[in-house]
Amino acid sequence: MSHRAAPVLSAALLVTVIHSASARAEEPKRGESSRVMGAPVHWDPAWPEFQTGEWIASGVGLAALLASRVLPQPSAHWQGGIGFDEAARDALRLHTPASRRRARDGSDIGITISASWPFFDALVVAGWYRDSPELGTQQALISAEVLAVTAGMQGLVSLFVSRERPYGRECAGELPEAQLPAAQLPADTRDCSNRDRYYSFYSGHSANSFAAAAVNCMHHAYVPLYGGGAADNWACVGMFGVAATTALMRVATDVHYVSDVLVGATIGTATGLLLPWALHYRYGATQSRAGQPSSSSELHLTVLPLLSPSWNGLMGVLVF
Amino acid sequence: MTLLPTATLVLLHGLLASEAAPEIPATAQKHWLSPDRAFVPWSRQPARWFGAFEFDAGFLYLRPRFELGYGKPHSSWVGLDLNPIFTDEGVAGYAGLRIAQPYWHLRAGGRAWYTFYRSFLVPQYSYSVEDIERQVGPRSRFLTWEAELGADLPLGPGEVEAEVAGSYVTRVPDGFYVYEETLRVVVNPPWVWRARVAYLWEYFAHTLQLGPVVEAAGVPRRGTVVLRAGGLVRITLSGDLEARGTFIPPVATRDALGTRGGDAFLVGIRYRWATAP
Repeated sequence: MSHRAAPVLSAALLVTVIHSASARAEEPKRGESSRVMGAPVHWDPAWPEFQTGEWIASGVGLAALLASRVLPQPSAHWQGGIGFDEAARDALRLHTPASRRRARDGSDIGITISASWPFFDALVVAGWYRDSPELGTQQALISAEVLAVTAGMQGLVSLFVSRERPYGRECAGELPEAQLPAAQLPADTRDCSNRDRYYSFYSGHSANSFAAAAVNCMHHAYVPLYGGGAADNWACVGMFGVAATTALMRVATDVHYVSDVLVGATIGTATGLLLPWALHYRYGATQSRAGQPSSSSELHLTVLPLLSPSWNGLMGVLVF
Repeated sequence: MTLLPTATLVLLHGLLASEAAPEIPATAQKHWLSPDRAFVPWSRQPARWFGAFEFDAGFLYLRPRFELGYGKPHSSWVGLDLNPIFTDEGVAGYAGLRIAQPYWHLRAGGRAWYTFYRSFLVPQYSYSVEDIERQVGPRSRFLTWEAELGADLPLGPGEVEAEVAGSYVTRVPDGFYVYEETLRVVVNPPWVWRARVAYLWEYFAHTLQLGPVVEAAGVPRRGTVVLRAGGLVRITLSGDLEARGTFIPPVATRDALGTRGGDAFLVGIRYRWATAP
């Protein structure tokens, strides 16, 4: 996705959402004091509200993230790929600096969409469209907590593991001149001279994108923010699709190995699913329609192995 | 003597403030966190001395803005603007004076940038992202003086928003250019100009504003103009909270800065607070 196409695509999606919302709502006349919008959704009293301990956990997560950027790095670095990393790099890495830069911009836009989506749903869909700010606030806080914890864990692990990013081998000055590949990077470029070069394991973009998708899926699983049924299910598919695309672009742009993004995606997904369920949703029921609780609260996560001659992997399927 | 500034500001505010009473969305009459408690819209609050702040947060930036002045906070007022900026590129601070009225605002001040990684730039005809991320000069730390005049005027089913601004970039060593982090252009100091016009339609009882925007930024001493175009969306969630999206990528430019060439994809919230009357 190019950096120019992405905003246009996102704007089109936004317009579609707004058009769909306005089609369902009766447009009030100018001067009317109230809007006619979606049916309210409610925070189930059985679900514990955001607690003091969660504020502390969120603060610790942010502090860990900050610390990971200022604490000294280990002097020895992990370099190179494991397993199928090198084969995947050869297959997926884009070949020109310009295309890699566009993919990097695309991954930045991807994580912005991923990280913003839960807050859009909480504040705009629940709080504004459904006039349910209490529920919106709770879901926004839970999402923020998931992202803070995910980012903190990823920051500290990346600091201490200190794996060099794949492009690092192309930084000038690292190898004898005769061995330098044709597409070498100048030693004075930020990618080569900055400490960020050694934050490859595991991928923060992947961890946070998948964590955001997972926590928002949990919100949609328990509250019919989009009205219930297929709309909420497809939202979940869409969020994981954006997260997967973001992760793929991190490999294509040569800032991560496949093993970095797989581990990031797994840890992010697990955090996004387990944290809101363990602290909130497991205590109450799902709502199948706006404002109508139901007794079903089954949630299944199935992990399937994927095996092929050149690839191995895992696929998670969330059924609710 | 201590009453003189107050008297001047009261007089100034009285002269400038019009009592226009635009329609207020119902959501703007609520507090986000306590919707049952009535929120007096900013434009209908009494004029007073106040301290206020506006907090923009998104992925991944924090932009608090502190206001100290006289008038109706966040609406029509005269006073001091303080604006620390925190991003993953560096930190900055803006301080200046602002006059805000129902249909226009004027601000002037200085913004100091301390980047974490970026250096000043060796002059060349055009720049890529790789070029602005090479560390080939002294660390990029500069001061930009800036004045901006803006207007927002009702027109048809929405409103027109327009801004013109002039910036004067200083503290750049001779023989270097600088990437101005806020304006998002490579500058051969000192002058930069910027103009923006947007039309925002209003939906859902004025709580949703959405529309196109076009922006141009010029650097006379480089002989270059960057053209950006995209869209803006704002949703009034409550009197004190707003969701905002800004999508203004560069569409015609000599440089190839990608998302660093404009506010290409910013999504966030804005929370407003002020001391009570």
